[in-house]
Order: sequence, then structure tokens, then C-alpha cells
Amino acid sequence: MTDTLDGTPQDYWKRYYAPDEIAEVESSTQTTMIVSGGLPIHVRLWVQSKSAPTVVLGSSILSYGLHLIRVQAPFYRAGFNVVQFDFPGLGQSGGPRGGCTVRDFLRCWRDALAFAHLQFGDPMYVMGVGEDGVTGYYVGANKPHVRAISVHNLFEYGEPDAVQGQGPYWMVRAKAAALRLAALVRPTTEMPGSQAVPWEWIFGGPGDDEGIRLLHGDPLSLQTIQIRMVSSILEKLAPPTPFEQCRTPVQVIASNRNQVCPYTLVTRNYQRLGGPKELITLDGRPQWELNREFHELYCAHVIRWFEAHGARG
Amino acid sequence: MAFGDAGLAHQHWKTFYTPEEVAEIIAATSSTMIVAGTYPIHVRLYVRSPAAPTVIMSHPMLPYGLLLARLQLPFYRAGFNVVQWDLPGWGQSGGPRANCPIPDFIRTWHAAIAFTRARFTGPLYAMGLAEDSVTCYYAGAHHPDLQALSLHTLHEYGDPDGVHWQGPPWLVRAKAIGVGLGTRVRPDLAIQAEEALPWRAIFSGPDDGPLLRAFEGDPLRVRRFHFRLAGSMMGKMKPPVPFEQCRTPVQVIASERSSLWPYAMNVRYFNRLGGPKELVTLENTDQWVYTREFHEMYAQHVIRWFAAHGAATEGQ
Repeated sequence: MTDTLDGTPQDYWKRYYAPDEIAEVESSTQTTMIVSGGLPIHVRLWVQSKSAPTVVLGSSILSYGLHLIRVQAPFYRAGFNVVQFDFPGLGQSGGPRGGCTVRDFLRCWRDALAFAHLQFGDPMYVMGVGEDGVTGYYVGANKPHVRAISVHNLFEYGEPDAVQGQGPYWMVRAKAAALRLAALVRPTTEMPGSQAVPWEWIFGGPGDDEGIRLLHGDPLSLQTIQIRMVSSILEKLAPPTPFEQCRTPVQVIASNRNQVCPYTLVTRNYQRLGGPKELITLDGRPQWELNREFHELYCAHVIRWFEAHGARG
Repeated sequence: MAFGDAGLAHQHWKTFYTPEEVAEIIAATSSTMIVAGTYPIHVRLYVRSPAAPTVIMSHPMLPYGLLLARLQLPFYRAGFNVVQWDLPGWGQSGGPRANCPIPDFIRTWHAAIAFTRARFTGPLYAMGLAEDSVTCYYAGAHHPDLQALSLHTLHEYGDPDGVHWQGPPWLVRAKAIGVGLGTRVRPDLAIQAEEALPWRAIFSGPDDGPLLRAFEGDPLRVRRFHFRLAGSMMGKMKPPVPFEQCRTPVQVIASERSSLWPYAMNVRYFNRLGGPKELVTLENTDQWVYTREFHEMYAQHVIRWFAAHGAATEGQ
């Protein structure tokens, strides 16, 4: 039985979109759940009527899948299946709100890729923007079923500049040590989600102030964050596939006004990539913009990259 | 639009049912999410028509919604819409696992009733079995949108019998103090679920062994009960509507040999109810039996009670 309300957290999400976009979500997407580490993980699917390449996406930490429709729909329109999952503890997924760790995200990526491959087979592609991009690389690099990866941020957890804005590197390491200790004592200690990172650093496009205000009011956005999540983001964790040994084609789309993940950090790691690669510079752009044009521009780069690596929608 | 898998891609839930039941669940149900506080709450819907009577239910603290379809299907077959939601922190809902306190359950009851009222035009009814039953009374008594309640467990939070399986009253009170202190220091403190609750009281039928083993292998089963939840179950909290003042019709279906909640406790609170009421005794029965026959027998009592309070379905 079908139901157009499936998967929607009531109506708040509709404030983010134009009526035609809402209609497209309601007519083109389906939802289900997978299980990762004992937690229910919300999955949104855009399924083509015939065999098609599949792109797998996670979600950002501040928001969640239904807030990120504009980064999903262009792939569907271009002929891809889309498998989008919300990270545990965020959006429509289960788990302590803002309280899961990078390792939980990595496990979730593995489970989502397994689900996507079981449902749709080859070819499969991974894309991500923030933490979802970095963790997507950690899990997807050199995996036989992953034909290509596209990321916006690329760094190793714990390396200098990876948490820009938290001060010089010695201070970041001191904060990391203190948080690790605090997380051992009382891991569920919470702080407002808006304190983890200035949201205007993430969404810096023209008119994004209103979008930030809307997201602040969304009960499913990052209302609180627990120190165990913050600690895990600051913790040193090398990727299973060092950048130099990666043979999966990787596209890096870097914004050169990015205040969250500095352009120099991203390009430094791009240079280390050992396999086929492409660097796109979004000139004068912040980490992200909430307008429709930015999403479509961004996704067009990714679609071209995936098509160059075997995706025929 | 659901993905044709009853809203859960993992296949394990199907081991609880016959192939015919699996097909019926997939065909009859859709799923959505509502928001309660900041938690995404999983909702399963069985829709007959907007004007049909609707029963709202959650689930106890072991099996979650998708594992209790045998309790939901009889209502649907009888002509009801069914709105079933998973407790926050349980099953397919969001929130810290087995670590959302009783006020979160009550808040979610209100959110679920509001969602149901906005969606369906016919009369609404609510039913509960365990903690979902006690919180159902707390949220549902005198609720203007509810015609009648059916409960399996009824007590006031703070009554030591409300956690009878934890030991005699003095021990329960001592545990409540200890749990309260522990929660302040480490809200994530927990004990293994098997130690917190006698699972055999739920899977108590002679043929329930295979289903209990299936539950033990379920990927979404409760693993640990956290102190914050346990503390809220032991803490004192008066119902907004004192039992004596309740005018909402309440049915209590009490298991005579429940090793979780004593029959005498349920009868004691039933006797305090001031409005229309009915007591049904399930003789020689522990808290729950997991067979299809038991679920259908239980649902028939509830359907009869709701029908007596205005639930006219097309089949009646």
C-alpha cells in the first residue's frame, strides 16, 4: 500500500522547498529502514523503473535527508537510483540525538552500501559533502563495488586544520584530549547543536540566513550534540585506505571560501590521492549554499564524474 | 510511499509470522514518522477509511510494533484503522535506546493522538499493554479526542507494585534511590535487558520458545535498560486525572498470574476508576502469550469494548 506521508516528519520539511519540489519528493521517493549496530536507520530511495546506476549518500550532521532533497533529486532526474540514509542519532534515524560517533557513521556507511548493492547491484557510486563525504571515502575507497567517489571535504580525522575554527593545532589536540577524558566520565553531556560549529560557516550563500533560521526551528535538525560525538570527530583516525594507495576514482569539489574545511586542507589531501582524480574549485563559494542553483551546479559536476566512470542512466 | 517491505528492509521480522501473515502485513500497512520532542517516531498505519473508527496503540518494552502485528491485524480485519507507533528509543523510533523516560512516552502518546485526529475523522480509541498501558491512561483519560481506553496494566507511578518484579517494596525504594543517584552521575548507565525483565513472562505460552529465540536474535531488540528509564518507572508521578475522577470508559484486561504486574494491583486500580469500566480476567495467564490465538482472543475483548462505545465498523 502506498502513502504519500511515508517517511515525512509531519510537514516541517516542506518549508524548505517550492511546491514542485515537494510534489517530486512525494511522487518519486520511497522509504524504508535498515539496521546498523542495533539502530534503525532511515533510508530514502529514488528508484528508476529500469536497471540504473546507483548513487549512495549519507546526511550532514546539522541536517538530514529530507533537508537535503536538492542534492538527491538531480541524480534521479539524470537516471540514477538514489539511496540516501540518515546517520544514526540524526534526522529520522534512531539512536541518541547527536550522540553517535564517527565509528557509528562508518558502520552505517558499510551497512548502507551492502543494502544498496543487494537491492540494485552494480554500478555503485558514493558521494558526500561534509562528515558524510569523509566517512564515505573511509568506507568506499578501494571497495570493489564502488566505481567512483565524489567528496566535498577530504581529510584525515585528527589532522591539522580538520576542525578549522577550534584554534591552533596544539589547542585542538588539547581540546581533543580534554573531551576524550570528559567523554569517558560522562559521554552523554550535551551542548546546543549551534555551539558545535557556527551554522553560518556551513551555509554561506545569499539569503541563507532565512534557511538557517528555518533549520534551527526544525525539531529533527541538530538541536543538541553530545560530547562523545564531538570527541570522536577530534580523535585521530587514519583512513583504512591511505590517500596515496587509493585506486578508486575520486572527485574533490572544493570551495575556496570554505571556513569549515579550508581549501588548502582539501587540496593538500587531493594531491595525495594515488588513483584517478579530479579537482573542481568552486570559486568564491562557502562550504555550502541552500539555494537550488548551487545544488544543481554541484550535482552536475558529480553526475559528469560518475558518467565518466561507467554510469549510464 | 513504502518500499514494499513493511518499512523495514531487514528480513528478521518475518520469522515471527507465517508467509500469509507476512503478505498481509506488507499489503495492509504503510509507515510514516511523526515528531515528538526532537525524536522521530515510527508509525505504522492500517487504513480502512478516513471515517472508520481508529485504534491507537504503541507496544510494550520487549517486542516493538512490527513484532506485534498479530495484535494489530484483528482490528484491521474488524474494520478499524490502526495507528501503531513505536516508543521513543524502541523498535524503529529514534532516541537513545531504552533510555527515554516515562514523560517522553506520555508526550509521544499526545503527539500520536494529535496526528491521528488530524488524519482520521471517525471516533478514536486507545489501548495499551505494559508501560504503554499505564502511560496510555496518563495521556488518554479525559482526552477530548478519545472515546474509550483498553488497558492491560494500570497503576500510579511510584507504587512499588508498578515494578513488582524488582523485589519487595523496601528493595524497590532502595533501588529507586540508587538508580536516581546513578542517573545523575552517568545517564548512560544500564543493565542487560535479560536481567532487567523476565522475558519468559512475555513469552509465557507452552509454544512460545521458538518465538522467544527469534526475539533474542532480532537486530532491533532491546539490549540494555538504562537507569534513566528505570528511574522514571520507579519515581512518583501522579496521573493528571485521578482514577476516581476518570469519566472516560476504561476496560482493564488483567492477567491473573502475571509475574510482572500483580493481578491484585490491577484490580485495586480498576476498583478506583470512577467512570464506565469493565474488568476482564485472563485466567491462569502470565503477563503475555505470544501465540496467534492469544493475540486474537485478546483483541476480541478490546474490539467488543470499543464497539460498545461507538466504534461502528462496516462489518458490524
